[in-house]
Amino acid sequence: MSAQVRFFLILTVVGLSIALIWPNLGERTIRVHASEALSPEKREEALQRAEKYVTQNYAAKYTTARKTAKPIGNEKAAEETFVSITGKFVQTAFLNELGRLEGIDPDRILLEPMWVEEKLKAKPFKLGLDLQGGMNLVLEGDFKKLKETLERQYPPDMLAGLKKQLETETDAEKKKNISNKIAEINSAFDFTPQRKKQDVEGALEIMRSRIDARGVSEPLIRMQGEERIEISLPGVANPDQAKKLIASTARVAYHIHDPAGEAGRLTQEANREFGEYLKLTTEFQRQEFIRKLETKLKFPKTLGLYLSYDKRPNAKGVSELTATEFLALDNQPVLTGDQMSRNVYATVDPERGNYLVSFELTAAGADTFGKVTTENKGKLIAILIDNKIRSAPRINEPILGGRGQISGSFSAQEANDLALIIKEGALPVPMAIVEERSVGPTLGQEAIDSGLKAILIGLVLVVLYMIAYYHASGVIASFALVINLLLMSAVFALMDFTITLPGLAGVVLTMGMAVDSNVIIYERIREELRRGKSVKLAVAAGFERATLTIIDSNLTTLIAAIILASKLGVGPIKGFGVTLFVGIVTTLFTALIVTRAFVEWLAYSVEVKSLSIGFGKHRKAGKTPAAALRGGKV
Amino acid sequence: MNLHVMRLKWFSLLGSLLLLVGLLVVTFQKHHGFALSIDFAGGIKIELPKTDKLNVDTLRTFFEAEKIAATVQVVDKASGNRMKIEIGGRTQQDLTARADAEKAILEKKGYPINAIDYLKYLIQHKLLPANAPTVEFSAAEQVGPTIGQYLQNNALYLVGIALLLITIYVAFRFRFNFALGALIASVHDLIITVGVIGVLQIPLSVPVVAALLTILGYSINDTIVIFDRIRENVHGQEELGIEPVVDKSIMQSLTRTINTTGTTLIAVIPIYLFGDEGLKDLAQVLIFGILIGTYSSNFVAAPIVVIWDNFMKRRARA
Repeated sequence: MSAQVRFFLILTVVGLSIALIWPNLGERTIRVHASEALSPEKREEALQRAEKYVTQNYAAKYTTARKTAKPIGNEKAAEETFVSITGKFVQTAFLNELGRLEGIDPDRILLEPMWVEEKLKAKPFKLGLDLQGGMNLVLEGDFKKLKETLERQYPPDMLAGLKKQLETETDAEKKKNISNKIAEINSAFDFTPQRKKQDVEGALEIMRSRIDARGVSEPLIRMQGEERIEISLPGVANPDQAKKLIASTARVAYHIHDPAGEAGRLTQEANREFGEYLKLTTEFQRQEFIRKLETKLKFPKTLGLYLSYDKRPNAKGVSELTATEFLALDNQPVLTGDQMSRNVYATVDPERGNYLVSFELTAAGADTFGKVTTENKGKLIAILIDNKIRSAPRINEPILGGRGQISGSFSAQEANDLALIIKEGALPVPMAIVEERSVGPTLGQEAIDSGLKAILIGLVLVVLYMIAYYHASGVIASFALVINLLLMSAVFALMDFTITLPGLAGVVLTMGMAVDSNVIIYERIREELRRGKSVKLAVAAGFERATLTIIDSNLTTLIAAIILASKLGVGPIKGFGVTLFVGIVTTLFTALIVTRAFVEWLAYSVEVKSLSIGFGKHRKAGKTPAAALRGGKV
Repeated sequence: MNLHVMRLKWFSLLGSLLLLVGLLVVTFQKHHGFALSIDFAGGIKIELPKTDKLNVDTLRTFFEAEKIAATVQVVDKASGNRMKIEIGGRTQQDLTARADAEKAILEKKGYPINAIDYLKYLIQHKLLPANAPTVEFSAAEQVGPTIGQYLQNNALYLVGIALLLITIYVAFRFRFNFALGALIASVHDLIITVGVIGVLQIPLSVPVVAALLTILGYSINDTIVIFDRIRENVHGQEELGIEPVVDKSIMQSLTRTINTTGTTLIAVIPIYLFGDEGLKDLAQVLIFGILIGTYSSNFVAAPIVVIWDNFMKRRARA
């Protein structure tokens, strides 16, 4: 490779690298819009809230301004006032923080794209949660709990009864129905690994849509093994709220209560003991009490004792959900949330002014619901959310249109959440949180600051060492090192690689190994000079010998890196392998192309008589053994 | 200057062996094994700001009264005084059970039912008076021990495969005895570094595992550079036997060895000095690992090449 070609290559690569990491270095502008649904005054309040939030928490980092413009990409729309925030090193976590402010539309927080992003597909670095703050959850399918729920729905002796029925039944049609039912029950309890995986995957999809509906950007949602889900939410500062939404298993179900029949009588008897029930303090005691009461009152298998809830002011005057009475219901629900179509929304009851959830049923659901409401006219239909009776209206006439409403003294927020949960369906299996990590945004910033500080100090020390030892050649080596770091950053940006704290440490070690290549080259050249070769010959021989060593040692390490970065590696191990791999490749480039180009340029083009490579100058030809020895220790 | 390093070969190998046994004995006899971070043992870690009412003493007294086994300590952070509470896996299970028993109260106050939220609830509502401002937990982790086990098995398996492939590659590029030397030196470095981790009771965590893998890469890199020199010098010197060639190669590489180790160390030491607590552990492991890796290239890998060579020559003569 001729010198010109080499320098051209270096310039191109360096230029490209700078372009690729420019979204991280240059100044960015964020547009923050208020929610479109709000009144102009409320919008103004929301925008002021955003401005205040930034000036209070990030005064040193970002500046805010008020601007008016048409929305990007929609020239026909009216001009709108928004808050424009400018600053460097914008993190997703920060965007998500803004999106959580009241009145701000999380879907319209826009990072104005930079030229390089549009042309080169350059992307800002992705930082791990340890660096930018946020929440990481690992959830596991709770199949034990699912089994308990199913046992309530299909009591064990129900199956035995059906089997007996199947033997005596003669009608072919009915026989088929019964065997279908048996198959359904059997499959519900058949917890094979495939089924478990399927359920957890189903839960994952539902969680994904729940998170998407909340406008969290760059969430990471993926399977971990067969029965676990990992979720990372950058910048989500309130873990409790997020946890509730993600893992909510809220199930909506309709159960029939017949006041004139057995259920009505049992309800009356049970409610005589309701006072006793209220005295209990722990959840365990309460469950126990209900189970004992059911046995005492000789509940048939088809009926169960449930609790009605209503909002009542507590001692402090705050309204909260309180148990009001017992109600005996059919254990078998007549309608569940999964029979409702996706057309579910919160509405206001025009007569009473409270919040309702309106729904439409699927075709099959509408059919059963129509049949059930016709058959059970005059009875009560209880609406249960998470096994709590929230309301129990009387069926005055059959509901045939496949539409309905859920009432139950909801607040606006509750009605919206419930609509969202019904829309996405309850999770196929309840999920338990087995692992959780959350890092506040300030702590993440501290981690970045201390990590960068450590790397910079390390870099400066290495540069000083190299220059002190190898003089002008040390300057070249330092230059190569900086290019190496630049290249690594560019590759990370291009690969969309998530940078974590241990990853940063990996970069530091790569710095050490990158310097090693230069040391090997320089020591070889010095040896050749000491033997009395001219600068030209020493440089040629030095590179020839050093190249083999560098390739051999780096290729061997590359094997380790490939194994760790391969599909076999998981999480942090894989991330580490990738860092090492990228570091080795960029090191080979900088040592064998960059350093070589500069040193050979000095030797061949500038034709220096002596090469400044440390501890006294090496003359063109070693005159005396003493002169050779000055080149360094042997 | 020419030192005959290989005269010390049995001495250095024996020294390494003694060091290795010594480190493991101290780890298991004195400390009863390794310190485990919650990544490996499972448990809870939360960080919270220090205030008048909420400090190390009040927390310790409170946990004692509540019969919760927890360690509370002050951590030094740029953003002021912070405290760290750590709770082991077994206590975590107790807390989960207690949270379940008090489900109704927790639900009323809006806390999810699990150990970490129960802990937050206790601090906010039991330790602090009712009108106290909401405590801002700056970091919270709750982990089951499974991730540690998963990682341990996975990491060991991967290191095994990587070493095997490296051995094959070195045997192919160099000779069998070189491959053997590289393999033994790598395993030596890993075990001794693990021993140092045990003696210093650095808690095993994900970053520490990453550091161990880094050491593996560094050590192999370092060994191959020396081997390369030996391979180069061996040509035309077969008559003399390999021992003087190895001595010469080690001496020729000495400046490079010192400079490379020096620059790598000065890049890592600032991480130890200025890094966060998690990074400190990682840096500590790297510092020891780099020193051990450099030592083993010269005093473990090279002697094994020589010993094997001598052994084969003696057998050929006999």
